[in-house]
Parts: sequence; C-alpha cells; structure tokens
Amino acid sequence: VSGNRSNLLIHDYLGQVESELRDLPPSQRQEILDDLRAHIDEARSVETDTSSAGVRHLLARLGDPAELAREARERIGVEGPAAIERVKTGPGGLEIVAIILTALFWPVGIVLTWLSPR
Amino acid sequence: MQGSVWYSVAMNGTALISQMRRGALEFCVLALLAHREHYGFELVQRLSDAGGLLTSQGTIYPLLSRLRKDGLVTTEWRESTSGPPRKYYRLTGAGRDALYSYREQWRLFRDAVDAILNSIPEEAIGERQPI
Repeated sequence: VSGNRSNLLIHDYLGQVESELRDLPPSQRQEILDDLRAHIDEARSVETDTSSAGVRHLLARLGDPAELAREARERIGVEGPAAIERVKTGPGGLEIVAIILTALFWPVGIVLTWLSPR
Repeated sequence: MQGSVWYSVAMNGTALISQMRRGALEFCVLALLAHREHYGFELVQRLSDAGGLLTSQGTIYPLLSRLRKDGLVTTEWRESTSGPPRKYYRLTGAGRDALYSYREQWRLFRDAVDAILNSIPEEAIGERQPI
C-alpha cells in the first residue's frame, strides 16, 4: 500500500513539473523530467526510509515545481509563453520601416555631400 | 533580464546572495566535474554537503541541461550495478576553459570586495539599525 502511495506522490509531482514546464521546448522539458525521474529512483535506492513520508520528504528536497520551472526558464532562456511567440514572428513592423527608410534616404545624404561647396 | 547589476544593487541582501549563489553554482559544478565525471544525484550530494549552495536540489537539472546545450559538458547514460541507470556528466575542453577564466575572475572579485570590506573598521559601520 505504501509503495502505491509513494508512486502516486511521484507521479503527481512529475505531472506538476511537466505542467509548469509546458512553455519549454519539448526536448528540454523531457530531459528535465527524465533527470528528475533518475534522481528520484537513485534516491529511493539508497534511502532507508521507504515509507510514503520518506518519499514526501525526498520530493520536498527536490523543490517546488513552480520554482523549478522558474529556474528552467531563466537558465534555458525562455521568459514565459510570450517569449516563444516573439521569436517565431520574425522581424516586426519597426524593423521593416527602418530598412525601407534607410534604403530611401541614404542617397540624399550622398547627393547633399556632393553638392556641398566644401 | 536576468542578473542585471543595477537590479542587484536595489535588492535586499538575501535576494542578492541568492543571485550570487545561482551564478557561482554553475562554476562549482564545472569544478566538481574537472576532478572526475559525476552523475546527477552525486553532484547534488556534493553540492548539498558544501552547505548552502543548493537550496532546492531539483534546480541543478535545468542548469545541467544548459551546460550541455552550451557544450561545456557532455552526458552519457550508463547502467549501474547497484541501482537505476545513471546519466554521467563530463567536462569538455570548452568547460575547462570556462572554469579556468571564472576562477581567475572570482579571485579578483573576491579580493577586491574583501579589500574594501576589511578596510572599514567595525566602529565605522556603527550600530545595526532596528528593523
């Protein structure tokens, strides 16, 4: 019974982490989940306290899923769901206008320089 | 924007220490790996033993992912005779270079801060203000 409860706790914890990491690229989200799973398995293989209280303590030491996700976003460079969208949209309107204006007006400067008496 | 100096100055001491710990952690991991390869759980134990370097153990894994992506470490899953499969982390040449330059920078930084802090006599700082 204790084993089942422990597995349920771990399943819930990893589920929360997965949900908190939803804005990360899938490969990186999976990598972190695999690493956490390996950590939990390793800890359980060396831990003497195999009760569900022991597992609860182990998960508490791993940390709050929201904090983990915050750290992942900062380390991996995703600032939140909006950041992914920004990257995908390519150059914005301002960039395009800047390029057009530069192309149109730089010859004016050259001509003025040419005509200038000094 | 992460780790901006201007933001750090405005932060209280606790938040500042937590930012510094975050920055230093990366290089403590590289330093441990310079000695020999480690698997994740082992790294966590070494850093926890050092005291205060790792407050939430799980936060090491996003960091390790980042180090791998930056080419500072390589990883390899291997079976273990005593437990579940382990993912081993090994330092690359680029990781060694990063560690070397950080160590130099850190010493300069530490000495500079110490020189200022230690040059101020205890009396000059005065009484601690009640909160």
